Amino acid sequence: MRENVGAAPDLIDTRTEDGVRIVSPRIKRLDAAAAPAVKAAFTREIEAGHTRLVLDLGQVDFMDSSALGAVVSCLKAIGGRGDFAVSGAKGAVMKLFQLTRLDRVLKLHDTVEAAAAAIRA
Amino acid sequence: MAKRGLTLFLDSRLEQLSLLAVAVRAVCHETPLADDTIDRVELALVEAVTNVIKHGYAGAPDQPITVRVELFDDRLVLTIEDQGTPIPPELLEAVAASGPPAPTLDPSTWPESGMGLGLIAAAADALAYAPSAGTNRLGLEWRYPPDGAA
Repeated sequence: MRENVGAAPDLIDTRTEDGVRIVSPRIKRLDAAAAPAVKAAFTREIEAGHTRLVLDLGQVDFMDSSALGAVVSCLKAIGGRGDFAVSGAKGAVMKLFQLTRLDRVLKLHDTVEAAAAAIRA
Repeated sequence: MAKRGLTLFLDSRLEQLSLLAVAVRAVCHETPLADDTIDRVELALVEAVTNVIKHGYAGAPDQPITVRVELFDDRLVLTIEDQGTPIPPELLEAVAASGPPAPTLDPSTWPESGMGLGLIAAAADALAYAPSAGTNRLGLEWRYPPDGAA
């Protein structure tokens, strides 16, 4: 079942599939204006005990370092308690991961299903 | 002299970023730049203007930012001007030389901020920065592919 998160209810969808929490921003542009909402949503998820997370970027056309910083902050909050993967990064979003060289160390998958399966494995 | 170009004026609010990016991206599509390169233009532009708003103007609204887009025969040039606190030269030199640092396998060492300048340097084909007489001017350049005709 889909739920909406936080003060910006139309911005980020979440759902749980077989023990993996899927976080799907519906914002096309994750820039410095949107980064606080992203961080708040992730923080809420982690505080609610969801530490096996997929960030589904399939609906996102653009992401900058502010939003990436929010994601990294949440990754640190998960620490060794869980697992994290990214799905659907493409175009300018993939370019961000490549230029920061995080594409070499993050778990990037084409689909939500593949990312969730990697976390369950 | 540029064959064509336009100048965009905006005030220092993060909410302006998306409109600016959409406008410049549309101009890029009038050039021979590949989609992959246009992604780099958009990223460098957004990072640069975010940097001005957050650091140059320390978040103060209603401060002026000017973005000039110029199309030359062989390249696209973006020039971003502001009247805020300049980027420290040593910071710019360090990132321009090396780009963003390579992350380790341990996420606890990954940066949560301060990635902007490195990204700008890595995303642009060429970069020049000239703070002078109260105006900071960041020039960014992307060359067209060799077989591209303007």
